[in-house]
Amino acid sequence: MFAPLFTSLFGRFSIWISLGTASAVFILFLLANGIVKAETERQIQMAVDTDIAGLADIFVSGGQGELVERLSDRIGMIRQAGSSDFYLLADGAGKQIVGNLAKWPELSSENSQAGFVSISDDAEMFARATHLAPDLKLVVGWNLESREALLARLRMAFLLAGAAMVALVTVVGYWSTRRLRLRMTSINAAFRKIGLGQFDARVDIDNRGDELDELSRHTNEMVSRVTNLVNAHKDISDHTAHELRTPLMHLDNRLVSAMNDMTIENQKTGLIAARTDIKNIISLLDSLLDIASSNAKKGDRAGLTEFSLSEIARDMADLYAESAQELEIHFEYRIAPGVMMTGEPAHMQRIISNLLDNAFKFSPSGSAVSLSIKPGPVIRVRDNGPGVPENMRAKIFNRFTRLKPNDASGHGLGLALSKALAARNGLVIRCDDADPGAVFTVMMDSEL
Amino acid sequence: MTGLKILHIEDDPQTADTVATALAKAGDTVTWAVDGTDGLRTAASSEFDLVILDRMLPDMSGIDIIGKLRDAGVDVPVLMLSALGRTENRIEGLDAGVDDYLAKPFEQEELIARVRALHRRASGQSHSAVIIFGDMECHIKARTAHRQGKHIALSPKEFELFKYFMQNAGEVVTREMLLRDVWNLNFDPQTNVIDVNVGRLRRKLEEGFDGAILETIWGAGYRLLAR
Repeated sequence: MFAPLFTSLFGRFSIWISLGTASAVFILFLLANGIVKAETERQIQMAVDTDIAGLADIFVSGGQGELVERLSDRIGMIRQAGSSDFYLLADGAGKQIVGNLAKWPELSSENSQAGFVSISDDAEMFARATHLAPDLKLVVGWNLESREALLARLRMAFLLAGAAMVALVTVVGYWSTRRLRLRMTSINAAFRKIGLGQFDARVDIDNRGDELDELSRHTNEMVSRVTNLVNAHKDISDHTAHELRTPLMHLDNRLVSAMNDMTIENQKTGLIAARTDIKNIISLLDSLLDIASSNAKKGDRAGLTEFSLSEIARDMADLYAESAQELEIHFEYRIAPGVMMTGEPAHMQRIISNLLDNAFKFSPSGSAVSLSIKPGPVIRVRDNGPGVPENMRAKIFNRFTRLKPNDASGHGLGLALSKALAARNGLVIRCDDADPGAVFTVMMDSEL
Repeated sequence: MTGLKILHIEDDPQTADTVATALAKAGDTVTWAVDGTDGLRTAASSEFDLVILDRMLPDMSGIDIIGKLRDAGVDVPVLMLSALGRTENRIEGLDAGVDDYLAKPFEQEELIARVRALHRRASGQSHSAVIIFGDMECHIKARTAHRQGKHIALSPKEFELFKYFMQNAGEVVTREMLLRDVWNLNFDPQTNVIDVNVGRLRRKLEEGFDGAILETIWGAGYRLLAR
């Protein structure tokens, strides 16, 4: 009923929407992470610079004693509060005067260098060094622990929010595409039914006023139109046959009455010929209507059944074997057993019969005609007659085409009808040179 | 066979007249109903042996009438007589449940033969294991043919043909009946394949015996005669 997830347009759509959402969340996370990282760095840098400037002011206004006192207070507070600021006031050789850093970091105080330096194996700080007096230098640093914690919180927030978003989009996507899929399935089901000849099938309209409703409405209008055309075609065929056959029957009956009243035998000859003409007109009419009907039904699956072509061909071969003997034609048939096909059995009988009729008609006595059936199906009728000139091999399947222009023994519709019947059954028919003679092949239409 | 009571549902008076005249010659009585409604009413009010039904009637289609007739419990054989005579029309008619289908225009002999064969089939006259007609015997189960006690060798298809003639012995069997019932074909091949096949059976049945037993009736078909 439903197409599998990956072959269904909507299944693929759902998957792409979910993947798209996950990618969007990831890109947003990368952006946010970058901004937060850069901003925290900038703030730490500013804080360190402000701090070191303040301490330099204290040194200028109060001298080294004042500075040492202030720094000792701060370090004391840091120990109590557990904060992560670092200070080191050292002499020119880097020896600690006061501070909570054991050794001078790799920063030059001469040009007030700033940068990231490691304070242990797994921790870093941002620090700036400065030169206060010829034998006095100061470094102030801020630990980056707080920034790392912030980034970890950000990652967790994005992971949770992203997962929730993808889940939500997946559920909403699945739900809405499922509705779409159901509506499309209903449209497809209607087309399938119509293909099987159930012309009363219509698509349900949801009355949501959306594109699918419009498509459904167009579909229904189109189906109604096709149904009308099919009915009109059948109607006109039936009425043509009815309106022509009925007067012809009356004419025929009049001829029969006239014949019954006649006493002289040779007067009847003309009337018998007139009756034969009537039968010919009817047969011509039927062939034309059969061709029209087969052309109209081409590609229509309604009315097709699975049957044994081998069985039908064997019966036809049996029927024609006697005629061959009488015409002194060597008739050979090779029918592969169990060749099955889907189509209209009566059409296949007619095609084989038409081809054999032609082969027998054009083969002189003493020649050979063969019928072969192979899986595929491939039907082949070969004769040793005069053959078909190359420029006529495609044309002979056109209506009213005869090999001999004055041939009155048919309407020139037999092969046109065979071609139309073959097409109705998904087959094609072709004529080739059999050297000598002609070979007609009926086989699967490879374009289908 | 005594005369049959036949209901003919047909809107064309000339066709109705032709059918009535032809069947009257065969000893049958035909009641004419001018459209579907009239036909269904008449079918319900009296007993008939057989219904002849037109396909295109002014008030309803013959295909609809056949369904209504069966629904009303009318189970006598129905012959559809129609101006729609193509293979496709015949198959549609037979699929709809009619017992036989004859296209207009038709030979009167063909109509009579069809009516006779349909009635015979419906009254179950052809279900015996051995059919005996004149000096001929057809053993259905053993699938053998005998004449004057002598076995006649027939191919499987020839036996089918012989059996069909025996089942319709003494009556006209038309080419169309043979095509449909023996060869299962709903169209007439352009060549005389049927005549050739019947000719071969005739030779086998008549060879070494006196007199013709398979008569050809011009314009209609064949009749098996008793000897």
